[in-house]
Amino acid sequence: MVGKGRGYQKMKSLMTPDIHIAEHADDILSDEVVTNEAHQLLVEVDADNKDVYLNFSSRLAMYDFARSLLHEAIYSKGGQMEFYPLEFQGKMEIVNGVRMPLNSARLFIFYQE
Amino acid sequence: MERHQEDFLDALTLGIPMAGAGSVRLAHRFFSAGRGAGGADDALLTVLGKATPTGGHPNQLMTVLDDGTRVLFRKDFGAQAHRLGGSFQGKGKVNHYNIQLQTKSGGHIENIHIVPTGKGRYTWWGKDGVIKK
Repeated sequence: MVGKGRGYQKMKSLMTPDIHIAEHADDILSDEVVTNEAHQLLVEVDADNKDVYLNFSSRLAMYDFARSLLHEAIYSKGGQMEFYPLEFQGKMEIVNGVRMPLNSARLFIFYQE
Repeated sequence: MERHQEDFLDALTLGIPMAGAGSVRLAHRFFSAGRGAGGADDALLTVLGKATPTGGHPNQLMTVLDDGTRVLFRKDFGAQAHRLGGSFQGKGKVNHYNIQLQTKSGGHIENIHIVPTGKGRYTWWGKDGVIKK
């Protein structure tokens, strides 16, 4: 988990309640989330009762994930989003606005076109 | 071409369909990467040849183009098969290949699903719907 203190205050300053979602996909995420692998989403599924857990390591990871969903809802076509762990050349990469650890379940979102 | 790339050849040697904005995006990016005199098919195979296995999936390759665009090739068969949207909604888990284009920060540019439909034929489906049958 990403801890509190000065870093926490900095993260809070990156999460403005005044949100503008530009069409250009490169503007969705904060530089902090893109460059800091500590910001992650772990998806877990309880096979017994089908509960699904979305474990965000930071508020900022959740904030940028939400921005990614907003961008898809406003601009995109295709009817679905896929989120999955992606490790490339030793780095955990972001997919569709969120970085997942290798032990995360995949996450799929569907919507009407 | 190494064995892990051969898994994708059956679906990809039928060529990139030149219809719809999605396939134009694909072809444009692949032309930039391929820099060859050949067509979009040659560029696609060139990009596939440069892709290397990733962690997180047993059948996934990725390469990064000169402009930072990420190109992923993924085979979602068997245990990795999953539900799809669009014209495949309601059909349960579907074996398919993916060609994905992402920005260097993981933003979504294009996501082509290549679905085998039997007898060596494939349906290509992306942001613009079905672009090739």
